[in-house]
Amino acid sequence: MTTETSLIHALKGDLNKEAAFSKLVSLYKERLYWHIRKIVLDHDDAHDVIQNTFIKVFRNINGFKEESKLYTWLYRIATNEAITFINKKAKRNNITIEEVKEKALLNLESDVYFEGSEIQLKLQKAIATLPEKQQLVFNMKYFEEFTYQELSEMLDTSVGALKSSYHIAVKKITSILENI
Amino acid sequence: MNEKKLNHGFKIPDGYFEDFENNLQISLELENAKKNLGFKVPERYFDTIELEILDSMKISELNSKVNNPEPKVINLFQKRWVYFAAAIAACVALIFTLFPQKDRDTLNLADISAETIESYFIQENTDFSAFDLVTLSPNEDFENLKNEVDFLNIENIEDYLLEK
Repeated sequence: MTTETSLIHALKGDLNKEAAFSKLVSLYKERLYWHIRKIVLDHDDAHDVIQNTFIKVFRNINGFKEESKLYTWLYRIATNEAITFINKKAKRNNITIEEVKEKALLNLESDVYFEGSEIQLKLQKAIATLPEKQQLVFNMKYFEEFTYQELSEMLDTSVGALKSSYHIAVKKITSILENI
Repeated sequence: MNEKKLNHGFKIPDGYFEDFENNLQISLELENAKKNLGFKVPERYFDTIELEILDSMKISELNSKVNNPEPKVINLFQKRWVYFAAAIAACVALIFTLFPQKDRDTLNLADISAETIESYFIQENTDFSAFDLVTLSPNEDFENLKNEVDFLNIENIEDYLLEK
């Protein structure tokens, strides 16, 4: 039995469930945090989303059919939670999703938890101009270096569509950075 | 340099070499951004978040139990009539167990035709001795048989034959 399989069994069982969750959090907390942070930009928001993500994992682990790898399932939940968080924030403040993202981008300049250089800030601005799906594909392919197959499972999109999205995203970002 | 040697047929986009340094700089900065995007977290954040997440999960589980409590279990034996119903059901079950169907619907020998009995003895090849027959047959049968034999005296036989 592989480590992942035994971890899943422990998560689904009643014995040692808490210890198994502790291990799961310990294994994935940083990776999932940075993935979420790239979507929501703000640290406090990322903190809320990662908590929601693990709570959702905890509640739905018995529904995980093991047809995919555990980490692809976790990233899928984290991505959905981050997008849901932005949508809820827009609804709560009675503004559009784009306005929420613009606001997050503006706040980044004065954020104590952002110490990026001018080019890093420009890069975030360039990414923000992309449609939501292209942003996800770019971040996950370029920075997190997932394969198209992994992305296909996480984002529920065909490999062909992902390749196309990624190439368009790279072209747009390069073009924006050239002209800033 | 020979002009002809440079004419190799390949072409490049307009302004390619003018933008080359700039593009290279962007590529390098993008490559550096892979390692550091500029985002930071509070000190020892990842050391403390684990406990916080586990606490949140416990609170969430508790809330879930409070909001969706398990259905109330009603003890059936708190109601007296259930005792009576259970006692009656037990009695009925006992009757069916102790007195099976065959005992309750006893089959009489009189219900079986003589042909059936005869064919049974033939088919089963039952070996009956005279002793068995005497033991199994009731006394009345022997009495009747004796009367019939007594009746068959010479006079009665002659009368019967003359009448025919």
